[in-house]
Amino acid sequence: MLPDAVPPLPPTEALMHEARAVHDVATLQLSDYRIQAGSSWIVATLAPAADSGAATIPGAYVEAETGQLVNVDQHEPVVMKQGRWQAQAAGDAQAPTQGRYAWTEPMDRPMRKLAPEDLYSPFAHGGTVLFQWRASDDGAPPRHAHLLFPEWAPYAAQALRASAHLSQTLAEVGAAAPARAEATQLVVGPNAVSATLAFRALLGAADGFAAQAPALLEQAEPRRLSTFVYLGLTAAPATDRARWSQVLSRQVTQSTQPERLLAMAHGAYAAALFASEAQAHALALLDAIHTRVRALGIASGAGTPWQALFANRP
Amino acid sequence: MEIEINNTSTADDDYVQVQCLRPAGRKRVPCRIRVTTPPATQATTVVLTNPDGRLRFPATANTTATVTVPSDGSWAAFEITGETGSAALNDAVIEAHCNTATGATLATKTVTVFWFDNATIAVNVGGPYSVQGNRYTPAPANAVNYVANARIRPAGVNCAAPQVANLRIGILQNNLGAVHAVTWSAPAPTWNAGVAVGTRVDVPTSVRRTRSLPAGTFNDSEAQVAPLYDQPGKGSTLDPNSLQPPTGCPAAAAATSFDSPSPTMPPLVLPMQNGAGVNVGSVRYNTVSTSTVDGFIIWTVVFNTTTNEVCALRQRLWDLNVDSAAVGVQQATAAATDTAPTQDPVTAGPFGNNVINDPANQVITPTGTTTLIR
Repeated sequence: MLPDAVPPLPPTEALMHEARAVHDVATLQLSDYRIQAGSSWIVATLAPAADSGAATIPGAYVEAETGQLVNVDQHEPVVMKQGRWQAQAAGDAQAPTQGRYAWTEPMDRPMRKLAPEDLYSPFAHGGTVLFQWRASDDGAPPRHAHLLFPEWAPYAAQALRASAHLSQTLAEVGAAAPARAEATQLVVGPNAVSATLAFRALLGAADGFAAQAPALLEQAEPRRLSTFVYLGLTAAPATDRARWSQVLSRQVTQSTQPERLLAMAHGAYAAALFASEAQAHALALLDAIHTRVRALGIASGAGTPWQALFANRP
Repeated sequence: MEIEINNTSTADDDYVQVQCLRPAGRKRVPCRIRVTTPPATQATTVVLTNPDGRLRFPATANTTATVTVPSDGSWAAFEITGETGSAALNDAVIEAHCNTATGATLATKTVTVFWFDNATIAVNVGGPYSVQGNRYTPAPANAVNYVANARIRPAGVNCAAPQVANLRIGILQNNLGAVHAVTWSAPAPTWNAGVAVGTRVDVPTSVRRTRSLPAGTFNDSEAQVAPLYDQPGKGSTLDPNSLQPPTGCPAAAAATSFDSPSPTMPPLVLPMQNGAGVNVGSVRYNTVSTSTVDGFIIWTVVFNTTTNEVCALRQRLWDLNVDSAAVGVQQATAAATDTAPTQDPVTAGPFGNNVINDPANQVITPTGTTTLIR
């Protein structure tokens, strides 16, 4: 039986899961995943062990009779990441269908900025991930682990199975009209992962793409909208960023649907967290969404998904 | 006779940087002098002077320099440094006098001593801290955002001159002290199978882990961007705009970066062992609080991208004193004003983040006793 794709999470962790999934899908690189002897991409659901994500002190223990904490070697605390995974899809039919993971990492390490794994670890809290499995890894941190929205697992698998053609199409978007036309179709097509990758390619290479943006944003279902907002804030060419900010702001001021505003908020929140160069625009968009939510009288207090989003905002 | 600055005939590079006060240092510019109508009958003793006092030859005490100029027209070398800044281009004058400082003037050459003014370092306090998942963080905002500015003077400096072209305005930060603590409590057991009902185990009621910087000042940097706090185009770059040309040069802009210390606060799990060394289970502690007490000093600096030398122009102090268990808004505080530098930046390692992560600088302190009963 598959573990729950995402076990119930407290609000702040649920927000971090959403933000990380937005970031990870939006930044996914097909070239990171391949099929070779002893190596394959795998989409899997993670089931962390009970203490995964907790700290421990290697070699230390509590002496039961005295209650003393024995830490002879004065090790520093480490965080445990351990559990099992169960594959939903794999590139190679010979790849294992399940496995275990187990490693530790320093609880504190010199860190200049937070990586997505620092804010939400599916290896500690659960989730659906795409990773590059290697037979030699033996429980070590999987390579290129990207958190997916659980329902996007099949889309990721389909995109990877078609990666040769998809990669070529996306690479030619800026230079070949047929590729651009195909990418434009992908953006509104059924595969949300391909749509996100196509949106990113068009954003970076296609003149005038911003003019098409309002229609594309309005058609997008919420999670796709989150990734489009993230990309609009972080991946637009420098010369286009101001226009994209205006496009996104207009989407906010014109929207009356709470779930779409929430989706845009998730995209902006992820951009503020993980793309420092876009943080100012992302926070401005988040604050605009907050204003719109208040104006529409949408409940945003305790028990709502909005509370964690706006907890640290003025 | 003729004099060349930077050993070239072009006047586009007749510049020397004013001395740096913090840290004390002088950038030397090579120069040369020769007779223009050789052969002279014999070598000439020349005394170089600088009536306006903007130059030195090259040390502080060297207000003049005596040079022997060959008779055959070959060059004689000397060096200059900048003592005080020019008010206008080419207002520093080198005079070459015959034999003594008051002898006949054989040649003159103008130089510009460039310097920096309008230096500012802003520390803009960002988001308040809150517990988000396993982190105590101001996310999605930063704890503080930095903005550094400075202007090159006098107006009209040729920013393409070799003495100027590699200079950028940047940001350098030092740790003045740090104490980071995490406290765990509320122990809860998980018993191994076969442990008898009624088994009693004493465990610490709480555990506190404290990391501290030893006394002293440490560079808050990292190997790829050192000696600065941040640089663009490196693997560990925070802000791609962290180095910028000074105001007065093309493409000038404020140098920016940010800081966002976000300690982790996971639960703590420890095995429980009986006297025979057998594990009877584990005890899990919840995180009660995490606190960060950090002091920083940050500078706007002129940074030479080829030599990695820095010169501090302006400084500001800021603190981060936040506690997840405290009441009230928890955020950084910054000094109301920046000031002229009062101390030399520490530019070398070891870096503060590495020192505080040294196990030798941590203490784990259990307190109290709680009895757990199977």
